[in-house]
Amino acid sequence: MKKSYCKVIESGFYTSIQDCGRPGWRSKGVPLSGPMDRASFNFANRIVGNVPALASLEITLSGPTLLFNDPVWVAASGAPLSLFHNDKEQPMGLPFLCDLGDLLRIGKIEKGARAYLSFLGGLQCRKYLGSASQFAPITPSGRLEKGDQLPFVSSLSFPDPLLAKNQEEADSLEERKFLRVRPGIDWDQCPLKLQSELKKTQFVIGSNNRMGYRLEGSVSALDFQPLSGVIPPGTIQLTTAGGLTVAMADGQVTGGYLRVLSLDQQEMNFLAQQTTGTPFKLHFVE
Amino acid sequence: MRYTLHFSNAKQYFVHLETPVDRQEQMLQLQAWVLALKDSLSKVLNETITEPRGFLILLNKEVTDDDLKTALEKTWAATAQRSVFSYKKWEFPFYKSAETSHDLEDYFKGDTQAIAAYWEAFLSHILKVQFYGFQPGFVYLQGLPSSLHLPRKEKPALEVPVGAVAVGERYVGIYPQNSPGGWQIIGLSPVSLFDRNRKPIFLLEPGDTIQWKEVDAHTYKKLKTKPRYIPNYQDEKIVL
Repeated sequence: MKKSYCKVIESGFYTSIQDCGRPGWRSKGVPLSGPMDRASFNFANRIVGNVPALASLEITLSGPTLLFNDPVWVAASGAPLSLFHNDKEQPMGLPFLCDLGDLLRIGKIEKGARAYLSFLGGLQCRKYLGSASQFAPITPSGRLEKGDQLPFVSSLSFPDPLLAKNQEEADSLEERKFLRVRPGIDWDQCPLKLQSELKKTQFVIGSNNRMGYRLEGSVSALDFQPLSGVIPPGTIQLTTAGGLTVAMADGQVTGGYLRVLSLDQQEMNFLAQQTTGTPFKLHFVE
Repeated sequence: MRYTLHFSNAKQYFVHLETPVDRQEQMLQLQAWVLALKDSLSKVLNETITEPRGFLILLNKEVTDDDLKTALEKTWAATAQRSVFSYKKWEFPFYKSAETSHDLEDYFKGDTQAIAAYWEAFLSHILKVQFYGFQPGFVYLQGLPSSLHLPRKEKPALEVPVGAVAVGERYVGIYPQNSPGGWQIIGLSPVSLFDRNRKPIFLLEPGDTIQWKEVDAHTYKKLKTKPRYIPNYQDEKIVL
């Protein structure tokens, strides 16, 4: 039987295959992985009629160019970007058919950081430890590379799409200058002076990737070093130098800094759409 | 074990132990407790992650605090009654490689006698697997006396080779893949702590012990290239 796939002609800035990640292996040091903005990822799957967590592409800042050897329905969601299907521009948030020999060129993200491309039936990539999410060395490669073949189940027919506007998706792309935080596991160990500094400080997003986001601001440094401990995604650690780091999808399972705050999934989705240089304040919620 | 329950959000709890786990029997008890809890909460539990100060419970469904407290109490009571725990006693080959002794040379300022004494003392200690973290397959090995602790490097090395045995303060680690790392490298082991083609993929469990066995360059290379290599071990029991 002929295998259906699209070939990666250009990989884009940083594109990776993501499904819902690999829960169950963190006790062996394996990060959870999965999409950075779960709401937009789920929405992309829903537009092509998939159940939520099927393997899709996560596009960061600029997208790949794909050549199809068989027909399949696809759709994009998340941060706005340009989609050229055989040089014809396609809107985001609507499914369209890529046929044999078609070229799909995904351009730059105009605002935000991450978008998702879903395929009807999901990408049929090999799973490692129960997940297709790319993370080296669990998977042989950590991201898409030129020449990769992305397998799918070819189909011309299209099931009923779920096109209702998704409220969650709107949330991760909304414009605001604050991040909702909750007290973290070690909040009580954080000196009172630092607690009040954290509430007042203006932070700026520093370097960031799938492992984590750095929030730069002038908070006093800690004068003690805590023991290494568990860092679930969304944990915000106060480093000894007085900055904050947020553990994201590919974040290490343990870390050696004070776990002062945490973000819930909705706030992680929002942060995943932010880029370097954006200013923020922290809003404390109970 | 005395503990407090820290609530992070509706699906995430941290069980904070009053005193961090330190002795082997405590590690085994903690493991057994977590396993019993997994059984008891199987319908709502996503996973648990253990560290010296306790463990994190990640749920796929919200439960009431009271239900969780009851499950914790019941499973701890059952674990506390157990008197026999099993573990594996591993023998890991250790090669005093010349290519990886720069850190010791720097630390001991080229004093070859001091380096030889450090190696001799290091190899005589049996270490215990405390918990996983940092990278897939990386374990924090505990049991090094304070006289053998080495400070972390001020600047992490960009490339630590797979199999490097390294000391960072009180812990010993074996790098499961080539990666940056800030611990002092003292030798090489041919054991892959993570091998996706081997069964089991991960060799060690918290509470297991590791005894070192010095090998020469030839043996190291032979074992290193052996596919799906599993070092020698014995099944052991601890009776409380």
